[in-house]
Amino acid sequence: MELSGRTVVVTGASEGIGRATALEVASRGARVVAAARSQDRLDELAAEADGEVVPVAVDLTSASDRARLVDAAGTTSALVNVAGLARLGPFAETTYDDVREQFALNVVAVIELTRAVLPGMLAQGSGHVVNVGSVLGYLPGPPLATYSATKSAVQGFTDGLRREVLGRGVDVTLITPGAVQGTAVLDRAGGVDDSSPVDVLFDVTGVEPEAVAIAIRQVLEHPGWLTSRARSVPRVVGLTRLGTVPGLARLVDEGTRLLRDRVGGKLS
Amino acid sequence: MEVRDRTAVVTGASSGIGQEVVTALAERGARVIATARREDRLQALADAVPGVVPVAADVTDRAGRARILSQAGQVDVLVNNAGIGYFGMVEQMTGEDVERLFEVNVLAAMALTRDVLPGMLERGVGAVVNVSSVAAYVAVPPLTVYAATKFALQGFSEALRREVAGTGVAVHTVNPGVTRSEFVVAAQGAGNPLVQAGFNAAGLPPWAVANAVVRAVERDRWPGYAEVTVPRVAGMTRLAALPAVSRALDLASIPGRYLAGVLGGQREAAPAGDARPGEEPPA
Repeated sequence: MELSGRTVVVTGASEGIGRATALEVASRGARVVAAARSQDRLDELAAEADGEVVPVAVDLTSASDRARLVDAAGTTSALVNVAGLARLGPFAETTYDDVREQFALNVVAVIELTRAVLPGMLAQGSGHVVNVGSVLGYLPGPPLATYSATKSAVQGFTDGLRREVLGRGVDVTLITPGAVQGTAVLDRAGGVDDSSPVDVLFDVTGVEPEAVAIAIRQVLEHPGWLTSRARSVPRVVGLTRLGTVPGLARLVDEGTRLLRDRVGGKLS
Repeated sequence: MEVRDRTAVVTGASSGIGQEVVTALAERGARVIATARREDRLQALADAVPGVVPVAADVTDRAGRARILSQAGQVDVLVNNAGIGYFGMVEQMTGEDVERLFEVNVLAAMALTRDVLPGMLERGVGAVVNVSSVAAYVAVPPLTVYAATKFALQGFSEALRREVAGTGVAVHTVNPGVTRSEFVVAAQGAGNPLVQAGFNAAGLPPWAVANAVVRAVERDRWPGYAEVTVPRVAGMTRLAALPAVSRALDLASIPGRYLAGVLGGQREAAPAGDARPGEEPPA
């Protein structure tokens, strides 16, 4: 699909994968409707973009804000759900509000935005929903139990949605990044600690957010069930889906346990 | 874990799988806190089975959870069984439906687990059983959002069991296939009598699922947790994560969708009666 002149809604556009995606897609001539909470950062993005970026400051967990975003977008060719929140730490020390907050943004907002644009897409007989999951959806683990659960939910929702709209003109893609550089994993207090072992690990082993943005742009340009159904970035981390095979799941259990016992204290 | 003289909390206890789990645990000598919203049903259960303490509460409500836990005291076994079903296409759902599904099927279970976990870890003994579904492995319409909630519960259970491995606390999942319970009655959009007849004819008896729950709790041998489907053969649904199988399911969904539409995938009000959504165990 030629992106030029089409409207693409990108959430979580103020940083990381969302920001890179907005820039990448705008540079191909799409009208990007960029959603995030911070108006300032969205304005910066719009100024930097080589193309049209419409900044819409919204809290995606608010139903009225979501409605405002969908109104601002108008006829939408593609929705890219990137916004997400990860809080690090042992589950036994988490709070209910932490859990609820992550589900509200990572899952409920994704489903609700999709529901908001879907009737229009089905009516026009074309559209594309791209959801950003995580390899932790395939292979859940500590110290991100709640985040893993939210990404598993995104994966299940995306599978079901694709099966619901297949053959009705709407494409559905699940993007599952592994570690991504510069990912803001929040600590228990809600702060970002760039020197925490997890952040260092992500920065050393992770791909750049631009790599994920390029994958998203590619699936938007070349939608289709045969080629663009699901994509891991880098591709090799797609092997994590073997984690559901029982014997391999046991191996992962033991591996996680070793890792936890060796370095676990430092991770949380 | 030997359940005799242990304290167990079972949610969604007023019917179906939950009721059978309460009975099975109580028969093995456990003190069972049976919780659900329908007080009369719980009271009847407590009258029939010695060792059962009924606590009428809504697990999605903070105060309700606090009441359950204060009645229970020290909790050794937590069975997160409460759940609601939902038959319906994503585009036909309401925002309230989506939020309610996540609150009951996922957030309430996670909240209760969070509350009992520190005590279990401190004592070095405990079991959490999340009653999930085969929909945790395979998401198909008209159960898309329901499946998403069960994917979440499964992901949570797997992450948590890896987090607490070796501490003496076990995290189990029991994933039933189609079960002959009030699930269908309680599920939104399940008005079609053919669907109900199908569940009743093909469904497992709830006690079969309850047995799997009790066996999971009693399990002590390696690897220290159970992830079982009921019936066992339904474990094949795990293969749905593999790309080729997933693609085959995509293609099968097209005739499946048509069939679901014919059989009552169209949105209907839940049937009248005392079975309200928000109460019943999952299929």
